[in-house]
Amino acid sequence: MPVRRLDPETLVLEGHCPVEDAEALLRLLSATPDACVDWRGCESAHAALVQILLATGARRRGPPAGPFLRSFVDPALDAASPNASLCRSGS
Amino acid sequence: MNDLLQQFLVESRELVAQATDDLLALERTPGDAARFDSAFRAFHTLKGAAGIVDFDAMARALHAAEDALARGRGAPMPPAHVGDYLSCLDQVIQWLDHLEASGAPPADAEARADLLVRRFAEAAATPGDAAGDAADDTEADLWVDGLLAAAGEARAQARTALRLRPAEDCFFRGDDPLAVIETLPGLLVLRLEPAGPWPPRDEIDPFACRLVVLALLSAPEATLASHLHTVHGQMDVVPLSPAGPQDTAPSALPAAARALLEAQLALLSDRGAEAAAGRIASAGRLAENVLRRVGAAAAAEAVARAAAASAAAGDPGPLAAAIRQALAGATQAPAATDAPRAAAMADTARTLRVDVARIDALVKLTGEVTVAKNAVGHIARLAQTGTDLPALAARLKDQHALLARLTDELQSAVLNLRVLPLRHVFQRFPRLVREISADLGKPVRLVTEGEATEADKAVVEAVFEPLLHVVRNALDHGIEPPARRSAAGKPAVATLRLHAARQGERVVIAVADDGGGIDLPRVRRIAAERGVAGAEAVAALSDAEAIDLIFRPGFSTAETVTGLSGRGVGMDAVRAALARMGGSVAVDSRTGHGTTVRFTLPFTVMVTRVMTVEAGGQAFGIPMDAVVETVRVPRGRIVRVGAAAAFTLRERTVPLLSLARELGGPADGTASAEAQVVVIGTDGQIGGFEVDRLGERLDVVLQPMDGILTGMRGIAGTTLLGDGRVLLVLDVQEML
Amino acid sequence: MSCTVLIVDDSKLARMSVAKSLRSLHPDWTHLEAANADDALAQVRKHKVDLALLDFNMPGRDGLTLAAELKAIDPSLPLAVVSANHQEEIIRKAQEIGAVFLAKPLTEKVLAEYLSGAASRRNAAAKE
Repeated sequence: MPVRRLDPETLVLEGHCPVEDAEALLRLLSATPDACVDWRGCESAHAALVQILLATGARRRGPPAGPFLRSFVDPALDAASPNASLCRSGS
Repeated sequence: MNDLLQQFLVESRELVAQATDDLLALERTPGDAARFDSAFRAFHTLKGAAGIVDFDAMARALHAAEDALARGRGAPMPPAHVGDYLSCLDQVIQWLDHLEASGAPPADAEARADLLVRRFAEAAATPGDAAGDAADDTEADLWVDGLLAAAGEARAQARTALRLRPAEDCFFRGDDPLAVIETLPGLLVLRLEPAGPWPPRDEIDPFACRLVVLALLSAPEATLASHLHTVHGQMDVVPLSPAGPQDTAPSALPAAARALLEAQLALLSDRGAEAAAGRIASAGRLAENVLRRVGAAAAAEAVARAAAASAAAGDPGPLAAAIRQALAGATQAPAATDAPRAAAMADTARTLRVDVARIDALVKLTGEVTVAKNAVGHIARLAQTGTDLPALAARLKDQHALLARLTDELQSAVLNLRVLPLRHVFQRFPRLVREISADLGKPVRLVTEGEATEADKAVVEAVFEPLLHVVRNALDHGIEPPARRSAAGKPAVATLRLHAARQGERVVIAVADDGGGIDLPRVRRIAAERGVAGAEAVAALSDAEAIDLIFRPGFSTAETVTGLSGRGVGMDAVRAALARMGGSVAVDSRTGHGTTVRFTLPFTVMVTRVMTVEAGGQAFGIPMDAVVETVRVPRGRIVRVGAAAAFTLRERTVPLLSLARELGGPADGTASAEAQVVVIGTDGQIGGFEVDRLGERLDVVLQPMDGILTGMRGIAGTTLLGDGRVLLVLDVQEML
Repeated sequence: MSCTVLIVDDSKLARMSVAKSLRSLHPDWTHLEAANADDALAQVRKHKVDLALLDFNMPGRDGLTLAAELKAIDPSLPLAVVSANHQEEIIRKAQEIGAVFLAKPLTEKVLAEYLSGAASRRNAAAKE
């Protein structure tokens, strides 16, 4: 499954995340609002998932693997919520 | 041209005709659901057709029109919208004409599609409120500024700004708006914004799209079109001019932009001290937006710098100067709209769309001609060996008969290539009639019949102008104002009928109105007043002859010169135009019941190339086929042989005729030292015509002789010269 | 295995375009054309048809109505309804009838994917 909980503080987005995963991502984020989303292994994500990241202001650990996500989406999310704190690496 | 494109042109023209018909019907009965559905389907299918042939600009324009139609479904169609849709169809016709003529869409298709898209968007945003448009435009483009501000260095490369507001249910429809953005060429910057405040986390619907996607691209707008119509939702695309030398040249400012800039100047010149900083900021920002919007990027930059200087100094001077410079550097927008159309028409005259079946027929004939040629070659070889001459003669005769038949077929096949349906002309009239009728306040129903009637391409193309003139006349003078029609017991809505039919080798086009008919007493009075003919002569004319007065030069029945038909060209110009095509015009009028103007045109136009010569003060045409050469012969070398004369040309005796005398003119008493001679050859015979002067070479359309010239020996026909003179074309064969 | 595809569209241009893609994808397949629902029904009664592509937007009966009528004649006939408008209602109705929804203009890629799927289903059904 591209979206899963690694540990109580970390959610992982991996590979290609289709639109259906938006619901799972939102559910996991609602259960653990402070969890960090690690999308370093994410190749692509449907706009619905990107929207969840934007709407929840979730903390992210990146940069993501996919070039479009890395070069355009990640900076766009940064710009949209400049105050969202990033996850410290290695946690 | 491939067969898909061929079919595209045919089908699109039919769809335009269908949609036009439906729209005009909707204008009469705005709530007609069946007509609405039919129009909607026509626009929809047109859009699909454009998609199939990858004509993106057309697909985009029609998509906008279809969206606008969809928004208006279920409500009566406002008349203003009918005009928008008709304009869109008119643009489509122009595109089709261009495509047909040149095989490719015109270069400005994208820009024109933009105009239409914007027009439909505006109609949707501010129904009936034109005044708000300009302000809305600048307001709407604030997002562009934000995007550019965030772009940093990428700003310099940005050619297009894009805002995508996907429909809330777009995820359900299978769209991924970001995946679409990813495919766009030249993506520079992406920004994501919420469409509104987000709800609390546990109330978020993960499958309702509430994203606004903003992007800056280095690709021009035109290259994006094919990627963009896959997304559901609202899309704003704003072209940005690249900063660079090409736009330092002053560009024309649209009137709305000028007005806005001038308003900012007025605002700045208001010397009241209060809130000067606010005024500078607002005027600077608006002026910059306006300039960027119209593509004057360099001027926009200058204004932005001046605004900063003004703000820093608290003095509106620098900003006002910059705005004035922007205004001065830009001239009034030229009326460029007619130029592309004129160019397209010029193109049309040189190229031709040909039905594939007709080409096939030609290819088949070419094959048969090749077979006949080979057969003749074989016979020639047999003749060299000297075998059985009578048998060879018989075979040669057969082949000659075959070649004669093939030549005839080739000739008619080639003539058929030049055939077009009159639909090309007729389909321009619904919109024109609608406009003229609105201008005049005379409601008119246009009926067209026989659009499929074919005629020579040259005829179809040349008939538009005279036809338009007659249609204008009918609306202007023929059809009465509604009140007078009602008083006369006629329906208030007049009927104008455009009818075409083939009659043997002729094509007849009729323009019939159900107006008041030609006011003959008035025609007689005016003709006498204007000196078109003497008062007594006018009084002596029968009614049928009196109608003919309207074709005389100098006659115009308009009491006041209107913008429509009072253009200094009367029915005499119509008659001359038709004569040039080898046709004629006749009028039939019944007082109180209407007028019918009938054009009779040749189905095919046989163009003959002639050399014009002058002899005995008259201009003659000699078919170029027959001209061998022109020589000057010293009088001393002309030998009299009894009553006849001859001279020697390269050891051959050539009989010399005086053209003027041959045609019954005065005997020429020329005392020139040399005779100007045109040497003619036909069917192995040779002869010379002495003429006074050689003229130009012309392509003319020959008309058979009529009236007093019928039976005149040696004349093949007449044609009308550009200056109105009649040119007699010689029948050389008969004269030698 | 060679298939016979019925192309139903009131636009000859659209039929030509699909036929062209079809020829390049499957040169050995044959196709039939119909300009409206009645023509389509006549073709299906006269010929063995393995697949049908139906335009949604046609004068008279639309592609969905026709799809239902064709299913009544041959419930195993693979159908696709083609439309330039991705209206959810059309997509849903197409699925209810058992037809696939395809977006217009039909690209060769989309057509290829649909054809390979539909043809294999048809062949599997024929073997049963």
